Amino acid sequence: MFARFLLRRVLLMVPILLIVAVMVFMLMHLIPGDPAVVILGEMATPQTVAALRHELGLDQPLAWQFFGWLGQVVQGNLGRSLIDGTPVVKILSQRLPITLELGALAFASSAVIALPAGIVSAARRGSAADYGTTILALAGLSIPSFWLGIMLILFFAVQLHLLPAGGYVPFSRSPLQNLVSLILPALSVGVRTAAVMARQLRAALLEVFRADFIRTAEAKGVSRPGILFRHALKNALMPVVTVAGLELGGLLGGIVFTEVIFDIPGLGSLLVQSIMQRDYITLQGGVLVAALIVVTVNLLTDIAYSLIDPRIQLAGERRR
Amino acid sequence: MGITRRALLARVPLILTAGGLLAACGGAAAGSGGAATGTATAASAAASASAGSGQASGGGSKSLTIALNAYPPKMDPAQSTAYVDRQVYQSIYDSLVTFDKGLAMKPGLADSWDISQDGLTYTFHLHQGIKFHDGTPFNADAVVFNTKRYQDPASPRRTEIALVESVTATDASTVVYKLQSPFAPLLSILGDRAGMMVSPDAVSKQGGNVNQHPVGTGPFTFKEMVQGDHVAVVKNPAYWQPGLPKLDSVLYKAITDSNVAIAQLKAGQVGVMDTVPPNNVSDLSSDTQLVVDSVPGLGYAGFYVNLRTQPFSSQPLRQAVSAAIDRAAYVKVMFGTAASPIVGPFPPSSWAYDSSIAVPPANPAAAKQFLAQGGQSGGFTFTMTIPGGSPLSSQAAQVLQNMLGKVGITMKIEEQEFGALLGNLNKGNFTAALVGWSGRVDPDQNSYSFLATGGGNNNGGYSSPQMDQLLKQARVTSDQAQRKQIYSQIVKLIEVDVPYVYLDAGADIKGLQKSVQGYVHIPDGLFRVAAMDVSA
Amino acid sequence: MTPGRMAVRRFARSRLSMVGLAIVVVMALAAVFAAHLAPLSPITQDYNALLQPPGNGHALGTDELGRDELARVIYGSRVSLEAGVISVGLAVAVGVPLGLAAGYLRGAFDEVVMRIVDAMLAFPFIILALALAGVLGPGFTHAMVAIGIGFVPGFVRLVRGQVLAEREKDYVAAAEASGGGVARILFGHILINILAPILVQAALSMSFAIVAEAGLSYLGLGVQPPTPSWGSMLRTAQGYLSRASWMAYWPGLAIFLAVLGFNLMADGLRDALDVKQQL
Repeated sequence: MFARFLLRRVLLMVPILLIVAVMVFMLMHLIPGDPAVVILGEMATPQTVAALRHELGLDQPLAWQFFGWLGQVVQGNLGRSLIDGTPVVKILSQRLPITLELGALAFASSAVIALPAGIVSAARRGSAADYGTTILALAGLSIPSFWLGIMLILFFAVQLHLLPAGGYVPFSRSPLQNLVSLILPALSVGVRTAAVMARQLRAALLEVFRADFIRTAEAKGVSRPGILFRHALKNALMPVVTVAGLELGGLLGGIVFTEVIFDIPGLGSLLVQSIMQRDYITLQGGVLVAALIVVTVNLLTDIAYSLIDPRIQLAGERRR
Repeated sequence: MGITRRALLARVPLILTAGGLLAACGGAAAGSGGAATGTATAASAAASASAGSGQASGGGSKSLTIALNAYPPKMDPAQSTAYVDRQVYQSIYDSLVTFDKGLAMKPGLADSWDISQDGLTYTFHLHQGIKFHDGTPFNADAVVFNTKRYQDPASPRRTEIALVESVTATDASTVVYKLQSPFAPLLSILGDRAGMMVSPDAVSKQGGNVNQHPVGTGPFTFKEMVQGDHVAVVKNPAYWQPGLPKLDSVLYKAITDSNVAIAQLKAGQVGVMDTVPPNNVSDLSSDTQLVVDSVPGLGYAGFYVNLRTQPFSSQPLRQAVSAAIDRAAYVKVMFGTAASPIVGPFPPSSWAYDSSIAVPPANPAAAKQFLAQGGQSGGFTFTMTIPGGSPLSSQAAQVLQNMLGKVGITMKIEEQEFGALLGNLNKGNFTAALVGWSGRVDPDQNSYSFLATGGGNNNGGYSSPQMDQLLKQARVTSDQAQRKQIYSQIVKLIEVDVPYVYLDAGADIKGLQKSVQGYVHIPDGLFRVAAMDVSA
Repeated sequence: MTPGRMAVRRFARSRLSMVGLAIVVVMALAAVFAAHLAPLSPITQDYNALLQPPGNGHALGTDELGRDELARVIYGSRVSLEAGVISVGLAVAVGVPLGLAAGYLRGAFDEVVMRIVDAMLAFPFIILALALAGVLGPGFTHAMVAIGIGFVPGFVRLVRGQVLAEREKDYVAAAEASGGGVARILFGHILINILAPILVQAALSMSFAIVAEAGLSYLGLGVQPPTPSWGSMLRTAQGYLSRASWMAYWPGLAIFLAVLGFNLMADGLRDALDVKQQL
């Protein structure tokens, strides 16, 4: 049963991935004018333009170009940077781990904030703590990550001198400094996700509290914390996992700004840098990888979801 | 958290003068009393064994992080047009000759040299037994190989050594340069990129350039680069100069926002900051862990205009732009008193600077007249390309935008990453571009390649027979007073032709941790990292 | 009482919804009457008043070119609101008809549209907008198009889902039986019945659009100088945190409030119109 679900879910990815590939490929063709001229400049000789067109495959029919490109991509070749000829795959391999680390830390920090906040809020419904959490969650949803980042720098770096204002220290150089350099960035990305998760957890818990089996447990005399942790939380986690998975796209978006603000050499700052450099090949590769991450995480979310609640396999496609 | 982070303060705007937004640059020229040499060898101070970012992976090794204001676009001296490239080259490459802190020439890869009586033949005797990082030997053939690359029409080096007629290896350790005419700046030019030696083997293996993996003879070997972020080099254990280098590794970190660089300097993440904006000096000086070191800069700031296309193919329209700008106000807003307004390529610290040529105030009436002459009495629109990610550049551009707007000229601002911007500049793919010059001691190196027809840095495509003649004359004249007169004529011609809009000249300011030792501020602004160290 | 009236009453009774509405109204007024409200021109540079702290004739201080921060924040609301209205308008104009058609026609058309929508949803919204703005080149119009395209799949998915549910209802069958054309059934009957969720989605999208525009401007890809926008003001402010921290407060606060306003309104509308929460 599970295997069939898994197969179906993976197969469903194929057309999506194909269309994702088409869209990423078409990015290059959205450039107003001849991309080769845009890249080389108006003063370029016709020969160099022709050479670049050939190198980029622009002199081929569009469909031919696409399949040629796709063939390369499938083999793990994303082309070379227009700036210095470095293979895009190599650039990404330097930068992606940093973004994944930041993303994981951001996610962890949002879980650390959201779980207690959501639980307290639901368990003490209507209390000051609940009210406070609700307001804070609302604020967390509305605060743009880049402003939050700047405010965190102002407070913790400029005024209190507690944490670095930016810069990234590789883990291999100093694990401690590596962590320290990512605290503020992780927070500035994680707050939004924390707010979403806390709201979701609160709502889910309240719903579970109303469910029959909880009432039964209560009637049986199970203590309140016992109910919360043994029964309610387990059932409430499912929608939270879903939301968390869906939030990843947003998280990745927030990371773009955070990496720029904190001068962190990850995927997000690479995208911005390649735009500033008019390095469309690198941009293409970066966007493709970002989309692949989202598709993969959505798949993993679905699988996690189905493991928590096997009924979902019957329902098939998840709605969102 | 166990770590005490020092201040992270300071976010202040800054500079665009000599250090701020430069294009290329090389060593200071010999001769002629250039700028004073400041030395800022820091006293001992306790800190970690590394300045800027902790230990290298090897445990007790010594590392230094140097903050540059842009990512170095090219690792190959034959293609480089950026000042920041030259900073990195100080670690990877050696040049034939080099400078002492008084800007006199001293031996580099050449132990000694002879100059013929007529000044037309330079014979270099190379140090023997030097090997490139890839193990291949450095010899006279390598010098010939490299010089031929620099003479390639596609190399920005070509105009620097245009007067070199031939280069020949007479034996394995002797090289002879023959000149078309006497050319005093030659040695100083060979003390910079045009005298840097790249492994010929690496060039052929890497398909014609070494931008991906530079291989030289220098004190450090290339380790890695992360496009847009940093270039890392590690100690060359087989370096030919005994006892050098002292550091185990150097990290060149590109930080385009000077405020971010200052915050990281104060926090100790950065050991040395290359270009400190003048407005930040007082802030940095008050930090007891830091040393601020300033010498008069050799360069200038301003913007290129492209004479090949509309609107700046029109001389009156260029004049209109120049007349509309209030240089004194511009300098006051941007740098306070740390820079001077200028109208030509020679900073007040240069002997070629003529204080009798006044910097005119803004003249809106004249600007409107020029506009009418150019057939655009209602004004016109153009795009100024500026280095991206630099609040200073953005501020400068908006000041200019505002001044030009007052006479009806609409200036659009477009940001581009510095390396990409230089690329477009070199390709002539721009209308106007806010890029300055880091400068050299000899005025020839601030003027010739920028203003001569077809010059390697003449990105605006300016061509004037009169200017070409003056430049050549200044080049081959040996009497300094006579040369100065010619340079004054050049500045006056610039004021009429406006091939480039000169704005200001400022100081070259460095910020260092006190734990950094062995630093000597040579006015070309480059860090000789071989002799630098960090105290434990 | 009509359902509409009940919705208005529900909305008005919710304090948070009214706060949201108030913020949005204030912002709209600021945008429309900027020229009358702003004490000074937002682009006039005063080199004798660089980086002045709040007070002294500049209620919110001045920036690095001596421009009045209050005036810039007020004028910035224009760019923000325009960005929201245009990009969301674009998304509605494209996404709603597509969703209607997909849900009603089903079959191959639906299949194709939904696969594309799924694929677009694989791109993080900001990254899609960033990439589009990047290849189109910096500028307000391009940023609007980029953001608007980013919203389209959300509207298509929403509307299609609603139509799938609606088309089984009796009134649709009745309309079909009475011989109405497809367009008439879609726009004359179904659309009217699913306006509520579209409205909620639009309000929510406004808040995303405001953040996205500010974000693109922060990166230098949105509105170009000298036009004041909250995002580009923040970007400049980051360079002056230790000397002029106020420069970072106001534009950020403005973005925050605008987003909060539309979020609260969206929440309020959802409750008032009884729209089921979409995950």
